[in-house]
Amino acid sequence: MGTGRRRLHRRCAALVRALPMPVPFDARALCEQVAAGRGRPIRLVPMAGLTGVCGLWVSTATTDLIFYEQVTTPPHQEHIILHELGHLLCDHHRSPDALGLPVEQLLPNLDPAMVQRVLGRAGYTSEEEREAELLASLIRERARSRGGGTLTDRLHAALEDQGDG
Amino acid sequence: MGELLVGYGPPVLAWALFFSRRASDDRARRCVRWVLLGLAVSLTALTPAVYALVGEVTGIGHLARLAGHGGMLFAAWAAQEFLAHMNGLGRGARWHAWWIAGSFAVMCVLFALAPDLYPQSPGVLEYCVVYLAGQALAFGDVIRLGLRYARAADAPALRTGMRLVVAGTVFALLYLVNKVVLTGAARFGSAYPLGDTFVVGKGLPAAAHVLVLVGATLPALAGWLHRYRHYQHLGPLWRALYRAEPAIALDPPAGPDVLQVGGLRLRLYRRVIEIRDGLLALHPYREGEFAAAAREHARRAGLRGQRLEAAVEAAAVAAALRSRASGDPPAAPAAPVTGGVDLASDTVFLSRVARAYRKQHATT
Repeated sequence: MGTGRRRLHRRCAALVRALPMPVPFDARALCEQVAAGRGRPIRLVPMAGLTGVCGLWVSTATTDLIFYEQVTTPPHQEHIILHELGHLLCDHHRSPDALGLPVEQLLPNLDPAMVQRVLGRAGYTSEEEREAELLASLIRERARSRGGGTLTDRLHAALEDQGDG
Repeated sequence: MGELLVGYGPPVLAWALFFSRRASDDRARRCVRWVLLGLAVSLTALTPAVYALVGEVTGIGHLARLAGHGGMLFAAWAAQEFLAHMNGLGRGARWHAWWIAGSFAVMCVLFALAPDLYPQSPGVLEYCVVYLAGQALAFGDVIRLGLRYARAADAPALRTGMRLVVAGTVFALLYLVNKVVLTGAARFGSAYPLGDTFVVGKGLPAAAHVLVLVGATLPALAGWLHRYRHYQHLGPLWRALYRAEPAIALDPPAGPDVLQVGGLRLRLYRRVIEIRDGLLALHPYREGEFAAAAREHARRAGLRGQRLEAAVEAAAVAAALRSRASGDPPAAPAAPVTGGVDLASDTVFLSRVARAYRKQHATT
């Protein structure tokens, strides 16, 4: 692992440790807890056929909207939501124009004047995308290692956690 | 050779297992590490070389024995804390900790007062009784709850692991009772030749330790093998999608799959997500008619259930990859998404798809 990657990993791991972790884990419940902590609602909106991206975080003056691709499996949808939540937690900032995607076409029901920032999920060429993606992966990894609500979940989580992976 | 293996094998195993587990802020996992640490310290202190060294350095001949027994009591306390956590309690009962700490304090006093450690010497029987009493409660809980956990376990490795831990704990309890009977017989002048045999005196505790260590580690080993196997299986499908859409990879390929043995939890998760990203990118190139033909073909080949779905998906992916490579325009197909409802089932499904994909490409 290179120095830059290690630093990014450490930064994300610290963020994940500070997060509340619903047991059993549910990305939607995590969003609710984060929203309650920030005092701003987070709305999760499924959409079929988001072109060019598979998720979007749209921040308006009063609400955070997370759009996620519907035409995929539930665990993938959950990951897309966590990626967008990652942008929100890292306070990433990009104006609607900088995304390079026709937001008004993607989200025709949303007044463009209301949108303060937009971040999608399409490739990992920018540091922000890498950070949000790694954060989403580490949240999921931590959720798995914390186990679920049943006795067998707790046994697996406690006994299976071996340092080599 | 046998004595060497019995004497040094368990401590080496205990330290290896202790260091193989990373430190964690989760209390249950910390308790498992503490159990391993207690056993490792205890076993190491009682190896002939360390036993002699501690005596030589401190000038107290049998101090290593007291230290070893302290390690065992610590392991017993950690085991009780682990059980409390498994039962949904934050911590174990405080009096359990006091009981074990009190036992050790009495043992220290008896150790200091005893002239030597011969079974017939004054104080040695009492020492053995207190040592047994200090652990009996914890061992009883491990046996009782271990059997309950084994019955509730949903995975063979967890079930077997729990049963091995229970068997090891029964052996340990038998050994402690044997020590009490042995010292009691010596004190009161009775004959008890069985207690002094190699099998009971050395074999029983060594077997107890090995069973507990292996049992506590079996679920982790099985989990690692499960992840390694799925990671290998997913390789061909991931590489095919990566070649078509390199943007799916958070990190570039890190050498041959077969060498990726560390950090597999995250690696496997990334592979599943990146495959799903690749399949999503391919979605506009899927053809509903082709999938129907592939389904019929798979059915004729005798495939059913998940195997059939995986074979159909593998053929559809291969066709979509060809369509995209040949420059066909993307469409908006109404092809359904097949896969698991959660991460575990989706990993298993994609693993099946990847194997079918590799098989189809090996025969064409």
